[in-house]
Amino acid sequence: MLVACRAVTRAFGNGRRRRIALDRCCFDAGQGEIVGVVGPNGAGKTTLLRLIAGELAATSGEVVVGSHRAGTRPARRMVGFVSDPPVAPPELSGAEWLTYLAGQRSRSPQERLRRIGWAVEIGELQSFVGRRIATYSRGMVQRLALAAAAVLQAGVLVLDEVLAGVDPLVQRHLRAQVASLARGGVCVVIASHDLAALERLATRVVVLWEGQVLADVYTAELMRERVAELTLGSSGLARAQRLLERYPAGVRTGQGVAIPLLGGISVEEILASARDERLAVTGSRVRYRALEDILVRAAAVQAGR
Amino acid sequence: MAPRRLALRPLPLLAVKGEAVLGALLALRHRAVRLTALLSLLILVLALAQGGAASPPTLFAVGGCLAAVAGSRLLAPGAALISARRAAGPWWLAPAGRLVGLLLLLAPVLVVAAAALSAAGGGEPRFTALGLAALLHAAALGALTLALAPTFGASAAGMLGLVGALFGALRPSEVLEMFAGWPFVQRVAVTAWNVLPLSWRAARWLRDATLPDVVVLGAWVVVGAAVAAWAVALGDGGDARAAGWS
Repeated sequence: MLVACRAVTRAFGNGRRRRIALDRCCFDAGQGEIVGVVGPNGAGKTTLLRLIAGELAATSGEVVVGSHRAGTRPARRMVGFVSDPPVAPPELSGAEWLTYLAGQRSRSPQERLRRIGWAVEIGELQSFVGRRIATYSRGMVQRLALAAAAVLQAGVLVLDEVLAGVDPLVQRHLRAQVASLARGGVCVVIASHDLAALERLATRVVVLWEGQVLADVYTAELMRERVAELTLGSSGLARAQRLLERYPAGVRTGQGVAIPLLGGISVEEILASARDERLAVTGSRVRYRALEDILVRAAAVQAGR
Repeated sequence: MAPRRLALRPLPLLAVKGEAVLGALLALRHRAVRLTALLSLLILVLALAQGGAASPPTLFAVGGCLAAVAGSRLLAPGAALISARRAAGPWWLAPAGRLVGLLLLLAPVLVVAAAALSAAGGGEPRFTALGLAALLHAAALGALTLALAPTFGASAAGMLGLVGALFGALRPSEVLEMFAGWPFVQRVAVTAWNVLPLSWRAARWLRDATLPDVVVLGAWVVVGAAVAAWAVALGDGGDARAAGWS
């Protein structure tokens, strides 16, 4: 495993102000894997990523990168980190920034030049790499940040919200580049609120909730599962709870309920149950299970506590 | 038994060059440094118009101001500091490399200014020594602000450096007299004046060729770079454990 978190806890503050951002978190990621980290705001995603990048130390537990403790120099040299927001000196041009970073890992000027050229291709920076970073748009900065992390040619890429705030074309490009880096053997850990993008990109997704790992699922498994979505009339919405009592894995949606088709449950059976409960079903559909279902379910469980 | 060989790692020359270039760029591209350079040029022109009057103090003040303001930018909190940490080079690399970059930028300016001031003042024969003393003083003051910037911020560090550069020509005996009525303040001020890398030391070295002055100024370059390296290793949140310091 390239990245291993073993019962990692990170707390901030002391005494009454002590707040646990990450609580006994366990997960690992191997070569060529793209691990998505999802969760609501404050779930501990950025803390986890900063722990892997070595910018924070664990209060207890252990984070290992390669065979080194995270935060040590050998471990930090194995990580390319894109923080949110990305960090780059606005006084420099993109080319100067990449030259600086490439120089940190190259043994010869030729190697440095090769790395820079490769990174420019990764970020498709050709049209603006010579301009000052201060003049870049958000999408340009994100692309430069990915190129800057890639130019270090580290074994682990840690990307915090690299897909956020960019147009669909740039996002598509970034996704393709991250996937191509992973195919080259790089281990990618990526946090994002864009669940649909992560479903397409990640091989595995870790769901964080209030600092704890709630689920660790393979996206391929998600594709094997189905969810029945029922749209209920306004009178049915009030009585939807009775249906959810029959199917505890189900959750409310805006206009009805969503129930995972697990353990032999069929759509017909759910519709029959709805008829039994005298619920007015105005529409139904079956779709793949999505990350959103896991998050919504977690929120419902938390609310019911 | 085979003799043990001393395994010396080769210097990461490209990384050193990268840090030096980045240091020079960070200094050149910041508006505070450019503004200081403009004011320094003005002071130099005025001094030249007056026949190079008081050339060593003028040069030390100009060099000190430039080094203090530029030095505070090299590891300023934000991208400059984070880049040093993410590069994950040897501990000394970022502070030393960037300081070298700053000095490479300052050296020609100070040597030319020393030559011009010496020529205007009647051809002072030791303009090389004057330039060298100004450069050593600038290096020490630059290292001091470099060390302070990660912890206290670039503005505070630059301000402290500027004060040192502008008032550093006062000798400790003058400071002693200035605070005659406040014994505690007097003690603190005189101690600080004796310890800090101020221009009165560079002026005395130029005049008397005293070794302790060179040692103190040189020590500040080393101490400043080492403290800056420590601050870089502490990480973003001042997290010593993340950097393996505890």
